[in-house]
Amino acid sequence: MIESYLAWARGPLFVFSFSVLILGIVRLIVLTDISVVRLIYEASDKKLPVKALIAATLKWLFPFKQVPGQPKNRPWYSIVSILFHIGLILTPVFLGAHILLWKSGIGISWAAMPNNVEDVLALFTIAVGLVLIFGRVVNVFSRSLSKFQDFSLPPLLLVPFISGFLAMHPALDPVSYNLMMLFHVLSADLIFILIPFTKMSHFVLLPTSQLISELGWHFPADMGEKVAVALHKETERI
Amino acid sequence: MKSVKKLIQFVLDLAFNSPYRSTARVRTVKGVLWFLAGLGTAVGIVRMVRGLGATTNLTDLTPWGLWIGFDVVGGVALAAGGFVIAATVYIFHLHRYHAIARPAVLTAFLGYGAVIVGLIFDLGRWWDIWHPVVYWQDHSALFEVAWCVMLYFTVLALEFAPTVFEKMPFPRIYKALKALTLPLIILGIMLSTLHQSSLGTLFLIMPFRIYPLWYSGLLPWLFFISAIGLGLAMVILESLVSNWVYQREEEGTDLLAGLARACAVVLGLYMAIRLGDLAYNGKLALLARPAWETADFIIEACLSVVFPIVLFSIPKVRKSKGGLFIGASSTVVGIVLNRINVSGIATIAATRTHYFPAWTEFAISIGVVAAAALIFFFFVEHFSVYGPEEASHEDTGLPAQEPVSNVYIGAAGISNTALYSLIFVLSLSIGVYFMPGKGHDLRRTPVQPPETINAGKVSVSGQTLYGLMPVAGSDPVDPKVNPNTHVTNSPALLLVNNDGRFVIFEHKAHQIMIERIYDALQKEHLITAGSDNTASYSGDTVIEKLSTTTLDAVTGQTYAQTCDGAQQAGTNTGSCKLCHHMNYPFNQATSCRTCHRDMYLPTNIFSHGFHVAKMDGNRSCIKCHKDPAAVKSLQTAAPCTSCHKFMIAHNSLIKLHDRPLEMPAVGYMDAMHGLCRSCHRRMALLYPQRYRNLEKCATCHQVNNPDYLKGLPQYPSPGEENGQRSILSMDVPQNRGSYPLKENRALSPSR
Repeated sequence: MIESYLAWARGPLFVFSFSVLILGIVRLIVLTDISVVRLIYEASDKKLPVKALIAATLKWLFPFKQVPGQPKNRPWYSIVSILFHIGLILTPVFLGAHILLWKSGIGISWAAMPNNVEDVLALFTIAVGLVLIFGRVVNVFSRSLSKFQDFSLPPLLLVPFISGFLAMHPALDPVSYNLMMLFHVLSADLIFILIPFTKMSHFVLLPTSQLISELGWHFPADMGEKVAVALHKETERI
Repeated sequence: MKSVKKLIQFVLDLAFNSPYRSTARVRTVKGVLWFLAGLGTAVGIVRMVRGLGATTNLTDLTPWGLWIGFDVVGGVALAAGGFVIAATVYIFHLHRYHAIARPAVLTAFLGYGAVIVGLIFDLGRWWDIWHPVVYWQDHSALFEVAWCVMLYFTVLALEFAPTVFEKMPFPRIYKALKALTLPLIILGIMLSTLHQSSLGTLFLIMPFRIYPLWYSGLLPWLFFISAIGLGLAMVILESLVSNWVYQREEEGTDLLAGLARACAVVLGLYMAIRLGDLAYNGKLALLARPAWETADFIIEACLSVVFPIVLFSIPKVRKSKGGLFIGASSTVVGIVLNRINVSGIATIAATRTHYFPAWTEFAISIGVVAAAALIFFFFVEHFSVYGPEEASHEDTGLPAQEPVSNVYIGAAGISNTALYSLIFVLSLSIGVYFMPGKGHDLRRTPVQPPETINAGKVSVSGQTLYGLMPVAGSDPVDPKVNPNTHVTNSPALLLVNNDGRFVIFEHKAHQIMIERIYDALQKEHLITAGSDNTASYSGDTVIEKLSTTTLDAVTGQTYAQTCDGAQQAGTNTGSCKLCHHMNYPFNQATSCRTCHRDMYLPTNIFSHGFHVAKMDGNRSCIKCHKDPAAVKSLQTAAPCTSCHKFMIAHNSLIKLHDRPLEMPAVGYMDAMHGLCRSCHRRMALLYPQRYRNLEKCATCHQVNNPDYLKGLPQYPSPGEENGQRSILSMDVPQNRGSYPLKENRALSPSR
């Protein structure tokens, strides 16, 4: 019974979620590009501070002291966050079992990390993830800034790590291997489906985030009139 | 360079500066179309990657299905509105129809585009679609069709081009195109006439395939005339639909009524010629024949002609939107059904195949139409297809605000691009989800259990007939009838295929022959028996020795030395393993179909779940996956033989892979051919004089009448004979675990 669910989750459901992931990301990139072109097309000031934008993007990749106005910057929180991202990417990409799936699926493969290194990485990512969740909940400022997504996505991201680790170590596994594997695959499928529609899409949209917020201030020439029309106040004096 | 800049500016203006604002109705319609197009795209990609077999119900006997019937032959007919209206306006100077000329030409252009896309999906080797351009085959009707499509598509593009260039910053090109209008329209009418009729010509080459109610020498004429009627109906329908979608004023219902009247006349002419042709050829009586084709014909005639003529003849109905819509839809459905009938359904009786399009075929057909409709709407929204368009400005709405505090509480809504792309992405993924998976859709053909039959080997006048005959009866080779006939009784296995064909395998004779050779080898000390009751010898030695023995010399007396019997008597000679190369756990000389469970497809005989359950769940992993640092896979697991010591019979004629379970068990047919033919061939090569025919097909596949054999008396099974368990009724373990063997479980022989 569980085997057939597992076969479904790693078969058709996986194909569906992976397709949503890839197409959804392509859609986001295309939509972003369209809006970038549109904003430049409409803007009266078409000049862009490219160097400054790249610098700002790189700076925000390591936001140790970037949040102005906060009474106390939290460099450790930033460092933990970066470590979490590293674990999040490295662990699944270089896991031998995953590479084997790629190879049997579409015939591509790359070097795998040894399983014991993977074990350490997985545990490390779980631990760092828990620290991040703790930091978000405990800190008043973080908590007030956070929305539902910010609380729910990090724990969701940890589910495939925990279930994957337990599936790799059946002796520690409280339930059967197949059930744990089902949790693992289902949670990964869910994450794939959610990525294009949630904040997780920042993994492709990050390079354009600075560009978009810069372009937002490049108004069209007739912006003022349009605002007045939109507010039905075209007759009123500004 | 300057013109490139102009072009870019034009595209940007088109994209971002369009005056058009979508209404909720347009958004809904286009959303649905995007969904259908997404589904079609998913199927289209899989069709290109995996081929027609994986995505359609088409067969070699029914190679032309829905795609040819609907997309290609029907699509060409649906596009006929272009040349009909162009002729009406520019040749017959009925200028009041000018308003619908552009949409008609656009429909024709998109219709032909859809035909080409549909054709690409249908062609098995679609990447060779350019061949008619280079390799001219002027005897082929399809060659003519291909050229007509190419030329007419080009002409249609040029005919429609002024609508686009009108808005582009290239006035010279626009003027040139305008000047070319009349020649292009004449060329278009010529090519259309050629093409509509030559599609009918195409079917003239299959008089024995198409049911007589549809086949006619006048098919080219019928195709052409019905295309005119269909073209008119299509223009009516498309005007009504786009009026509804864009909530346009009821302009031109009079025009449409005029078209409807003309349509009725043309359809009447079409049916008159068709019935006249049937009467002339004496086929009218077929209409009284109780066949489903008759019903099909009557339904088609009613939909395509009778119903629309009745509706369009009543002026009140013809001038109402509802009446026009019903009449025109009926014509469209009826004549498209006619095309599908001619190119597919009406050939079913002749080919005796069952064909119903798979959902994937519908998805592509509908998806192509949806995509064409979206392009139609794009042109309507951005160019003046229906005359100068008044943009329907609709307030997209401001972001919702809380009335007292003016706090922003919600988005203004999702933009069109975002909405349509979201629908497209989701529908494409849904399409991929429902696509038949790798091998999941392959039909399984379980191997039938062999039957034991009583049959004899016959030698007539000293010449051995390698054929099995009944012992009793009035057959000419019966010994009672022909004293020169000598019959040797031999129990044989009847290996029956699902389609009723069979091979008679003389298990006992083969066994005895091998036993004798084995004995001979032992006497010559070529075989040494080990202390553990196993013997070591080489399969090749046995093959060589086989030649010194003849089947005729074998009597049935040594049967007690079967594998089973010999083993129980403690004298296992081990010859069984020459063929029975693998032993199922707790079994010996396991029967072929225990592993080779499907007639043609490989079977995975290893069940992971079964082993996990049998060996104490999660704690069992390390029993096979011994290296914790390695990836757990079949390749890195301990070999099966480390536990199942006797699973593989060594020195068998079948040379197995070192790790046999990494490979699935091949299909039964391949297994049998591999085993029997390798031995037969070696014999034939070693001793060409004596066994030169041994490796030929007819040695085993003799022309036997299955009904004849079914009447044979049942041979008492060897088990009943000597009170021992028979090799033929060996236990087959019942518990095979579950997935991935689940689908095969039904195949395991029941006790």
